[in-house]
Amino acid sequence: MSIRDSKYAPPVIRWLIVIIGIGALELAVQKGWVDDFVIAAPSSLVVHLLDVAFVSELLRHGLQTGKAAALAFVAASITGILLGFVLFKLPRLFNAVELYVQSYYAVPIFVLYPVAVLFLGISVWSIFLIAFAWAVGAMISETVLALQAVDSSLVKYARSIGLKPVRVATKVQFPAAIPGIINGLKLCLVYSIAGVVGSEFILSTQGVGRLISDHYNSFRTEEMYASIVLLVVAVLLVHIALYTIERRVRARRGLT
Amino acid sequence: MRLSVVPALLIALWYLLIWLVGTTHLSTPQAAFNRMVVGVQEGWLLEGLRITGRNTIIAALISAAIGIPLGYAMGSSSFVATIMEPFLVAGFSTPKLLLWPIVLLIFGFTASTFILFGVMHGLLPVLLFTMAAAQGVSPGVLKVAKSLQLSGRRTFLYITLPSSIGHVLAGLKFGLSLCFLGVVVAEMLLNIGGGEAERILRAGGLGALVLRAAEFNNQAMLFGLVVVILVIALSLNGLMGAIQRSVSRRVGTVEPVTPGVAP
Repeated sequence: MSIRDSKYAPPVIRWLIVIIGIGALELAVQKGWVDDFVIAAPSSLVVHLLDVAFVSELLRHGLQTGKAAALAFVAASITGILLGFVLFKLPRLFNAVELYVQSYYAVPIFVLYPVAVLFLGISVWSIFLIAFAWAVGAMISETVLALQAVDSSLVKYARSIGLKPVRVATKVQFPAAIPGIINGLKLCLVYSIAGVVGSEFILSTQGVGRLISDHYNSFRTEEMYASIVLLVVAVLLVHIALYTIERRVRARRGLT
Repeated sequence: MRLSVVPALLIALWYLLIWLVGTTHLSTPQAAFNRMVVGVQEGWLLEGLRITGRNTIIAALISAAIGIPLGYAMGSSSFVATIMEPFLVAGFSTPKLLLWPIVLLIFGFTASTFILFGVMHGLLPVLLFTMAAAQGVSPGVLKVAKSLQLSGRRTFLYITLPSSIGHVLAGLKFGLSLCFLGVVVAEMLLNIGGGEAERILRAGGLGALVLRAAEFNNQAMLFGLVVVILVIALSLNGLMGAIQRSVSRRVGTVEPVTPGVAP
């Protein structure tokens, strides 16, 4: 059996790539091949993780960001699922808006932040609005896709046993679409966090984005990298967690 | 005709907001339009379009030049593709906005920062789609090519490329749209903060103009620019989508599954 057939080869090789990559970066910084003002050594991340003051400040700001992101997420997911459901149920309306819904990802939502500030001032509500606008688009399109992907034979069976349309929707279509909706929730949460943090870079007096911005402005490169890396890791963990849930739900239903 | 439903709804919503909130904070559509006309006459709008357009095209070309060959190379080996896929999907799924301070630190206040941020957005979809397209070529057809003793180059040109071009173009659609997005956001973010950045303001593109409108409280200009940016983003996406569908119809392609893509 060659290495290509082994089930364990890919994960092992991936970890090797990560370790070698981090090692190479560490070497490059230690040897002075890259300017350590511009790129922080990976080891500095560990040093800062052990620094109680750094971690507690990060957690304090993280809590602010988390609250704003959670609010944006809840609002965007509920709005997105409802609107997605309505669009799915009204095919003529969906036909008219489909191209725009599919193109939503291409719109630089962030460009709207001056508009948000115009209406809501430099406040948590502008941040909420940007994050909400970014996340809701993904939720709407994923909800519609999930509902469209529901096996039509399920719907036909439900109608054939006399279920009213409302019950078909709530008891059959919506539950069957849950794996796809979980995928939508994943994107919604990731974009809520990114929208909040991005807005905090410029708009806020608190939050992880503001903290990173402060580190940048006061030339605290290592702290800046540490904060960003931890933030990206947090986003990836969210991604992996929801992806795993989605896969488990699909597996339990016998779907691939 | 149906394409005009959403713009009509948005303009109606705009007027509704004006009726509710008044014109202190909100420009009217006519004022925004007039301001854009002035922008064309005075030259700053066209200059902004030129700069953003140039940055976007360069970013897109770089994304394609790296992404397509690399995608085909990685996609030709399912072992390599399996190993690299989680990295690429993770990279694609992470909003690049979070990495902005790192980009700014490493590349500074230069013109290439806009382009780099655009490439960061556009490269991964091109790579992922091309990889999936290359993997999606039917093994049966490849066996036929082998049995006919076609060289590697001929197999690629006459078998792999036609089978995969539709999906590669879909990746380029994502890539071009996201390059534009990355460039505009970078132009905006780069111009925040005074001092050194003020020099860049004069050289910035659409994103810089948006910031200038906001800082001078010129609502007509702000709203006009936002509409221009929205129209360009949607048009680029629509145009590339039309090209992709047209080529796919002519060539007849396999529809592979692209992992993790739902931007």
